[in-house]
Amino acid sequence: MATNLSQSTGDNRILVLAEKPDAARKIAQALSKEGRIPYGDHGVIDLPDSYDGHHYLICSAVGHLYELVDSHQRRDLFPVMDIEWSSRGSQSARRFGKTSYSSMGKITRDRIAQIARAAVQCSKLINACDYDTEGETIGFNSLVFAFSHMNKRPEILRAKFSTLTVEEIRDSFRKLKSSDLSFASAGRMRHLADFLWGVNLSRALTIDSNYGKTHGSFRNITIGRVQGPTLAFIVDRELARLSHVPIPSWTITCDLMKSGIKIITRFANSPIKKQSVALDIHRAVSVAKEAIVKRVGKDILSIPPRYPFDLGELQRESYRLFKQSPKATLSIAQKLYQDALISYPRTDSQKLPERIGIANIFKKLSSFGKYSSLVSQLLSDPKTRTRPREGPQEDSAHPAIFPTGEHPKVELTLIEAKVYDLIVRRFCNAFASNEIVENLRIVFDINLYDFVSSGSVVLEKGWSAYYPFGKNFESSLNVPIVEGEKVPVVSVSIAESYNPQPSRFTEGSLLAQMESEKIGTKATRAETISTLLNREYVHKDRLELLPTGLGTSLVENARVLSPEIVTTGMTRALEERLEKIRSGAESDVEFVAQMVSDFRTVMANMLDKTIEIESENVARTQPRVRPNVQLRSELGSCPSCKTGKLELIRSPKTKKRFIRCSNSAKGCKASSPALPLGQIMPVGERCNQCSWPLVNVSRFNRMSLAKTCSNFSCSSRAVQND
Amino acid sequence: MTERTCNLCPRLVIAETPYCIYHKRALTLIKMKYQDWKYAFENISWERYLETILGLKETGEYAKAVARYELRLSGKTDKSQHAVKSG
Repeated sequence: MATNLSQSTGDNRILVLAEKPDAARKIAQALSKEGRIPYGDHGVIDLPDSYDGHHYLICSAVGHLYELVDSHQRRDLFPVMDIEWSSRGSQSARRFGKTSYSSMGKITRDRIAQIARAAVQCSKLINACDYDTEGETIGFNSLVFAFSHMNKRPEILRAKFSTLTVEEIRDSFRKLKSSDLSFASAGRMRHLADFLWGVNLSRALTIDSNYGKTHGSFRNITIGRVQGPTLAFIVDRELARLSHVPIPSWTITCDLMKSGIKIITRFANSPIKKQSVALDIHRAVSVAKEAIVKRVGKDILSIPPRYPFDLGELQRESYRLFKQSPKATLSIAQKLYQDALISYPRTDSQKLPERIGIANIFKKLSSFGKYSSLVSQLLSDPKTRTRPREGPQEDSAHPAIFPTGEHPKVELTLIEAKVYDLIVRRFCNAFASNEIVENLRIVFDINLYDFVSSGSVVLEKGWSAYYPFGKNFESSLNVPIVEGEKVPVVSVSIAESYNPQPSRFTEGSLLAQMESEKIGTKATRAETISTLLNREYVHKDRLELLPTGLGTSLVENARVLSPEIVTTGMTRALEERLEKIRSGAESDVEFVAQMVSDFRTVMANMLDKTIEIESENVARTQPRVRPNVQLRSELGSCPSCKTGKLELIRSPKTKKRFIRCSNSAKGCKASSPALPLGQIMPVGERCNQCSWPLVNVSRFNRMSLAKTCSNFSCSSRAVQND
Repeated sequence: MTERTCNLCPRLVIAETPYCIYHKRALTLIKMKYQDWKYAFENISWERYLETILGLKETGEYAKAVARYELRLSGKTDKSQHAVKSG
């Protein structure tokens, strides 16, 4: 139920909490009479005379001000079940005293002090953080802890908005609602689950991996409930590639000529799986002089517009078109949101409800030089929809991503402008008419064998006029042809092919896989991929994601100790139950009881397995490798024979590593010793001196990557060593 | 108890085989796909099949390593059988 501030507050001050300083400024601008924002003491914006006559004190968090910490402060101890909320970045201060605050700890401490000082002066609180689970958690924790030292516990109200435009912020302050505790509860439970699984599993795997002994230094082997299955997708795909055995098949194509236009036809039952059959058909067709048109089939397709953008689709399109990583796209979208140019981007919704003010958005966009002709074309088209085409996905908090129609106050960077353009065009596309496409399929009889040619023509342009980034339906089969007609055969060819290895994941396809497996959330998926890259479990070769030796052995060890860590079932079930808390269908007490029970089972399995393995009484059937074993062995093509590949190999006998050409059995002499430990990863460049591939070598510290030539006897290495 | 490592990499072997779990999986796939190749080329021999997949860029590295090793094994077996017969 909406609450009107003027009904109850008199002239008391009201504390408003925004999620970030930028958002606080936008809110202050919207609430002030003249759009000016005077700074009060200690970063709190004091608005004594706002547009609605209330006295607002506006302050901001800096993301999460509180985090869960292990109260024992012992990194070698697990399982840890004794957890408490503490101010972010205060771990070192808790251990070594107040002078040891990290820089994040200092910022957080100052912010908390500001909020507490402002809270003393206020009788009402308004949570104006982003309206989602995380925003609700930030607001709830900050405001509740800020009042923890006071006797009074004031009411927390919620300002809900999806854009940072003046109208929507003012409207949300007119229709304040009671804070929805189920959102905050789901957020707090998510943090608890992430901590319980992430910290304990990471500690268990760090101890198990024995990284220090094999690499000469300590390293945290970290894993989380979403990270584990995501890493397993990449490792499993690589293993499928490494074990791939191709199967042969044959395709026969026949080129025909009609009125000077070449028609390419293909044997109807392609690909052919048997060589003798393929050769028989090829032989029979080769002697044919003409093809007879057996059937001409036409289909008219009406293809509807694409759904409005949810975050995942925006990230995938941005990756497909601009090669922007999901994390980079989210960060651009967040910036556009903070500049009030688009709506809140962290949404699953594919709906554009009437309440967003569609007519007003079009009006504003039409005054935008770049889009005026596009919008006027859309609005003047009689086939334009009155309601947008929407997808099935819904989000209780926000609509799909849409442009607000506001003009940028500062010039956008090139990539920001591209992403903004994509969002505007996708919004317009949802209102456009269907694309009418004619599919043409012609079946030819060539010496009693059926050959087909197909193509399509766009009869009526619809949404592609506004969103020209979709599939191109136009193809060249624009030949007038009738059944029974004879068409001369120009040439016949046969091609043998083999099915390729499954393609590696890119950041875009990995994000799609995480979405289809329902692991992670819209806000965290991009961050998870980025974490796997930062922790060197995965590396990027151009756009493809490859597991490193460390990442591979992490998945292998996890599978031996407790397979649940790297499978999707456990984390998907957890996500579903968090959703139930959010909707109020499950209590947080039930959730914690079930989660702790699951967690205890996994931990018990891990300990049992460890004891079983360490006792060495059981014949091992599973791989158990240390992080120094590299799965990926190929470094690049051989500069000596040009046809082979240089491979990093560990001798089964001596256990030493060396580099050798894959053509060594055929006489190629290219070989070189390699460092016995550490990660050796190709960087995709060649040495100027000897043309061997350059590699990144990390040995003792994950931060110290050294780019060097893979050839031990190269003169460039001698210079480095000097 | 002595640990036996895979003949092609430092991983531990699966019981009763000379291979680790990954190279064993590659061998299983090679054997499985042999049926498709026999259909495609009408009774292609095992050795010819292994030689062919070794030369294809589409074949994975583990599959190639196993094919190379199996070829060497079958070569040894042929020679020893030949020696017994001629002896």
